[in-house]
Amino acid sequence: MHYFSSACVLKKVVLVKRTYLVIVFFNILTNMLIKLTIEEIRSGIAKREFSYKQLLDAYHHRFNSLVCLNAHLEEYWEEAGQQAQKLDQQNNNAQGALIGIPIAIKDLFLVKNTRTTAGSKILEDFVAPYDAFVITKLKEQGCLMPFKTNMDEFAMGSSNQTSAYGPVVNPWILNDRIPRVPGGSSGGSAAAVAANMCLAALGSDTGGSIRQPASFCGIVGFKPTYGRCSRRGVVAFASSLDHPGLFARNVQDACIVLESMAGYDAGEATSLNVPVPKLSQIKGDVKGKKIGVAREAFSHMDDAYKKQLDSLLADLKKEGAILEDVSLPSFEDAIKLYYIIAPAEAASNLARYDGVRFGPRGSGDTYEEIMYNTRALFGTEVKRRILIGNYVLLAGEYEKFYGKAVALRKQIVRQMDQLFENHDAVLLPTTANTAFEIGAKRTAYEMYLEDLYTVVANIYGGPAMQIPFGLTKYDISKNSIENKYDVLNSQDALPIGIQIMSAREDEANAVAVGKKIEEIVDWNKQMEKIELVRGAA
Amino acid sequence: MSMHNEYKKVLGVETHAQIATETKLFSRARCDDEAQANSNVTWLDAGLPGSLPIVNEEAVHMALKTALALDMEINEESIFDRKHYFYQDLPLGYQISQFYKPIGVRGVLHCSFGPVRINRLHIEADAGKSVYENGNTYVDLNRAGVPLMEIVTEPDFKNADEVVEYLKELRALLLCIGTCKCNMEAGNLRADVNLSVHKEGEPYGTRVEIKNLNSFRFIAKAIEYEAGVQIEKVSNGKSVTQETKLFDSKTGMTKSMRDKEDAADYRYFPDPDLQPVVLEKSFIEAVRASLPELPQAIRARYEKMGVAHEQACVLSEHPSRVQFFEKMLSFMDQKFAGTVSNWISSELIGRLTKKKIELEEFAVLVMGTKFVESFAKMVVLCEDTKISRSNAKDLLDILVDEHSCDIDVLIKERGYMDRIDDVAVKTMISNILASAPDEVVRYKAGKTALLMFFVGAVMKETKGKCDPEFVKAEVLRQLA
Repeated sequence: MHYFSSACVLKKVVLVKRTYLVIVFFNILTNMLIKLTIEEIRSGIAKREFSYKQLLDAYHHRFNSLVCLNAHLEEYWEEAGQQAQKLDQQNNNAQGALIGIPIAIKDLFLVKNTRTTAGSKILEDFVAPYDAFVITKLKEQGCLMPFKTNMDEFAMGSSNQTSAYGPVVNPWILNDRIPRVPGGSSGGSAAAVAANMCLAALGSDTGGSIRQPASFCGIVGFKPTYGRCSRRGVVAFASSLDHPGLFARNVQDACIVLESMAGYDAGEATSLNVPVPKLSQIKGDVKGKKIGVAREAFSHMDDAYKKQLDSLLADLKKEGAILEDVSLPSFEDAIKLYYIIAPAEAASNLARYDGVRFGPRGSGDTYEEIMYNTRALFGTEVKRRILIGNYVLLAGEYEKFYGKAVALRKQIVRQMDQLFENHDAVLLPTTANTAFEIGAKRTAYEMYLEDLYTVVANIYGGPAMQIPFGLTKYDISKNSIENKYDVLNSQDALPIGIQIMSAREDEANAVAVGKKIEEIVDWNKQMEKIELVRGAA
Repeated sequence: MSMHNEYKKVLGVETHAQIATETKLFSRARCDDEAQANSNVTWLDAGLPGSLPIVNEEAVHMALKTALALDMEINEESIFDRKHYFYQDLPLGYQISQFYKPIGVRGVLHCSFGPVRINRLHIEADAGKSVYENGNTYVDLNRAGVPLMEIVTEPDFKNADEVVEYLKELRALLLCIGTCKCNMEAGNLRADVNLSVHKEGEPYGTRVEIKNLNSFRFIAKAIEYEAGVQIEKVSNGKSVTQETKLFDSKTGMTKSMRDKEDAADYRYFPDPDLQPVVLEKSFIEAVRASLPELPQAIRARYEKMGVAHEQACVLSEHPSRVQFFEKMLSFMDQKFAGTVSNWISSELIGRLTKKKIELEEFAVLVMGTKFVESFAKMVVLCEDTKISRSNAKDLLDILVDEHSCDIDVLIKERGYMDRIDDVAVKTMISNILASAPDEVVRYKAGKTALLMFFVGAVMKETKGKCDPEFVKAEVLRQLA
């Protein structure tokens, strides 16, 4: 039985007004906090402008409003919140490069006592009993891990549509309101970072799974040298091509996170046992740098892309870069060998999922029945690649496929080594196209071509960074690009990206060039004018 | 049997020898045959996602040592490959092995019937163990990932005896260099035998593989049985099918197995989680130089010292035996080598057999005690006729039970060396003969068996404190 006295009503009205003001203020604060860089956060915390808990709550608020993107799988905001409170109680005495920084984790990384599914039904109930090496390193630096991100099943896919837990929606929702893919396989991580649901996110890149979604979502994606970040505790796709890496909204944040997660792991035979360069101390600089331009690849891009590329190259030249057209190994050959080696290794790496020791168990009275019924839980794309992989490894086919692919790989590595003997970095497109529509009909082969420009770096094993540098109008016929680095006020465009490759172990050059391009483009300043996910929120 | 003689057997052997490391080939879990089920299992051994292998260098070094002891060519770069098949006790869905580039190729082990050519030696990880109970299948992963050396011969054997001799030679070699514990019951050393039959002058027949033979007796039995089956088939115009069989020790028969590893295609390829194993030339040479004296060299040396061939084989079979024998020799002149070897082979091993203990086990047991010194002293005293052989045997009985007995004290206690001097014995003999004229007459009339009556009387009179051989000779002399 409720009754309201007039005084009571009055009080309520005042309260509502106050609450409204609080909400407005909160929204402003939230929108400010979720856009800060790591260095800005450090300084803000030091000046006590906000607390770690407030920072985390801002991200949490943003996260809650964008659950519809389906970017996450499991969430751990409560645990992260408790950690943030503890950090606040420690009165800024906590030591570490990433204190209080919310970083989302691709669901391919094992985080102790949390579910790790690799986007698959076959690991639906798998709770990781240990931390991946890079997770341990990140935890040591004090970062918070509020959620794990959706992904293509076993990292096999370029659109996040092979996830057993539904597709992820690209936060670039245009006026046509047709949901687009965020790319893949690390689609959830890319979407979450682009939509400011976290500051950075871990991804893995086997053929482009960080750089392609970073390009589709307009953020920085960084795949370091093979062996720089440990694969231990990361669900394997193709061991010789798997590169753990990350997403961030700017190169400096990416460098700070990478410095924390990179480093030698004695528990991994292919780990790189050399010091990690101090990437965060590197300044954007191209003066005197010899930069190769993969002109042939760029020639296939559309006019909007080319126009913006030309002005970027002109600006780089002004900054003192020595640009030189270079030819890269055949992208077509690379993609073919990639789709032999990667499925072969995947078929082998996925042989362990038989329902005997972990994960869901298919029904059956014999081992064979249990194994068949368990493995029936794999999705179509995973099954396709297991079939391809097992086929190319058959004794009768080995030399025709796998043997040839390995020989070709050696040749490509040699070519790239030679290229980097004379060049500090090479520029090439990240992707041949921008984000496409969810559900758009594409054949498996068309989908495989998503990796066209990215696989070379995996085959070679050197660092590769994707940086957003412009927008392509969604419909070029309607809008002509007039100004350089055109940013449209109407949300009628998608981000375009450029890829920087450098020699193995030479992340420094990719970072120096990346920071300079970022400076020239001033992407994040431009992004302030764009309201992402307007349609979704 | 006459039909059997027309056919020749051709045999080859694949041996799986567990490398004697503390930990597994790719994980830090312990190798322990007796541990509780699934107690030595890491994430990798259970095939958990994200787990990665790290090569146990000790295992590689032991395999290298073995390959060098078998006089093999060493691949300076060898590679681990994945061998795929599905089975409940194979957690990764593949076995990590060396297919394309094994660590060792083309070696030899010399046997009495000729050289046995070794085709290859490669390193691989063992699978787990399936236990079937009450209609359930249980998997024990303690053995999953345990390092093995697979040693494959060319088809250089003609019969079971040769196979067994080769395996004994191989075991002696592995034990000598310490790379395998060779406990066959525990499965440390398992042999698969390939067998085919053919008529003289005709091409080799189809071969059948008999798997997991873990005792020399079973190997011989399995070969005999399987050869019989094949000869019967071939001589009846039937063909032998290429297959894998298991030997049933209860029935003594070989039977077809639906081999879990009998996949159509193993889809081998180099393990991308591992780097090639690179061995520097200088390292290989250092390991070669560090090889101990091998059993065949030991045997030759012993034979030169006067040890019979058979006994030299027995002594060189196990490093503990060698150590025991050489410690015995350290207490005496080398000229006694043959005598000591006789004592060990006939007397000591005889006593140990009754106690169901092997010489090498016993050797380890007594190495820290007074036993070896006492035994050695005893042998020398006996050889110098300071004590009688029968007394010596009595002493050995005691020593085998009481390892810490001091032989000098023991002899003193028993008065074995308080011998009555020869002149006194001679007088005693003439007295005894004089006191038994009837027996002397009967002896001289041809009842020679009475000799032992006289000897016995003397021994009784002297309470055994004289040499029965001397007494016997003296009685004969006085009766002549």
